[in-house]
Amino acid sequence: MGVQGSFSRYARHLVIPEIGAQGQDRLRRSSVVVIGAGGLGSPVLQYLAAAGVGTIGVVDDDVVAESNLQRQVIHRTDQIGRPKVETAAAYLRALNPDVTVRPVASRLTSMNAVEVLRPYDVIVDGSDNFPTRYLLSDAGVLLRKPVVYGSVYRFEGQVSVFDARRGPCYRCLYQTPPPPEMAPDCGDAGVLGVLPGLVGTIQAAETLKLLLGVGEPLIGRLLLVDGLAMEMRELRFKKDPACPVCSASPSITTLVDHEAFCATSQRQEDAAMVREMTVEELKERMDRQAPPSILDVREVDEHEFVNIGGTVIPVGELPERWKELDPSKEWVVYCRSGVRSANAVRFLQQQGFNDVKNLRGGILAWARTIDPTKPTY
Amino acid sequence: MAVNVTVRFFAVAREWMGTASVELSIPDGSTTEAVWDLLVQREPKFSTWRDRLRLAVNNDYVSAPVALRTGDEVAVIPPVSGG
Repeated sequence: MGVQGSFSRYARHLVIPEIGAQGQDRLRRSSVVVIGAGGLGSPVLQYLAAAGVGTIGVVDDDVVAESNLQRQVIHRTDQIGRPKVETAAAYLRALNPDVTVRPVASRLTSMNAVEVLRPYDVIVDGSDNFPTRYLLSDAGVLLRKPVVYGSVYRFEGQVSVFDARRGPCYRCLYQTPPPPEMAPDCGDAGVLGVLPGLVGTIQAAETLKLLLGVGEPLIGRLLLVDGLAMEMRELRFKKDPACPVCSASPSITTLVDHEAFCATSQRQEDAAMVREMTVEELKERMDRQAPPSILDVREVDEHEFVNIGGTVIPVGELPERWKELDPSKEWVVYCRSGVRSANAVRFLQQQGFNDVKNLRGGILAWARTIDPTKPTY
Repeated sequence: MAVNVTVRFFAVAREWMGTASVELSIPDGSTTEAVWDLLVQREPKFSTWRDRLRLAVNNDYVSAPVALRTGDEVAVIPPVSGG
């Protein structure tokens, strides 16, 4: 058989009848592309490389940040600031030199998705945002490839396999992406560090099963992982006969970037409802000693880590505590990236605050353009 | 006669409700629509985001309203994006 490298590396696979030398050779001739070298991507990449999957593509346009290290175990402290695909590739090559690693340091878009994904047998979704998840599911349908889906939120995770040839796709579950304020990213929502580990290792197992053609893949089944109760439940779902992508008469037949039109419509909606102040405007107001009242709606721990002053009332406590604030004053509300504070601004407007603005981009924008000495997270 | 069902909340829906599950009593012959109506009364966000959430009855995702019987379990499952 054509198993390269030492026989002993894969000895525990070779003794399993469902794998054996033939299965191991199949893995060596297989290719998988993993989108996102983050919390989910880390364990997926580690286990696929360890298993001897011959070619592994890694797609991520981000660099390693300190706040990643609590869960993204493929990266190290001494690699902060380096492109994630580079540090992941170095890890995988050191782990298993049999594997060919192809790093792609760009963001997946409707323009490059077909070119990036087409060479691979299986697509693994380890992304951290809805636009990419919809793009991957749609691309899987169009390219007739399985997508191994995983996502996490705080103490919970979801895993499934979308293969439109044999079952439903992501749009059969959720037809269109939710608006940003319903769906904060990991940075805003938080996640128990090990949760993507639990979910990512299940994704790796599903990927290996697909490549080997063994077992029952999670097609038409969504595994819900509840880390607090430590329960897993399986929810069954069917192909939507009206699915815009994978039904017999699809309305979406080419790839679309949801970010483009979601973000735009969201921005228009926000502009109509939520007035904004830029970090430059706020700095200028502070400099001429005429700052507005400032409200930080992040958690107390976040405020203590980094802040630009102001009153602290976490957004979750605002319904009980907004009366501590004077509605006749001019207010600027901030959070980490501007999502939570936009919700807070809407809420305060409903309570009769007439002059309340959202700090666009939050404290991240402040650290980026006004004061780079401020730590980010 | 009333129908008693358990409603379980996941992800952001759990945050909205501040609890993982509630027991609801709905009139005999009710469907999942009656569950939605009670949820909206308790938390207006369920109204705003209704078409973005999915329900599963006894672990089967449902699209159209489904008749409920005592002992049924309804799960409210929002989409999740973190990675």
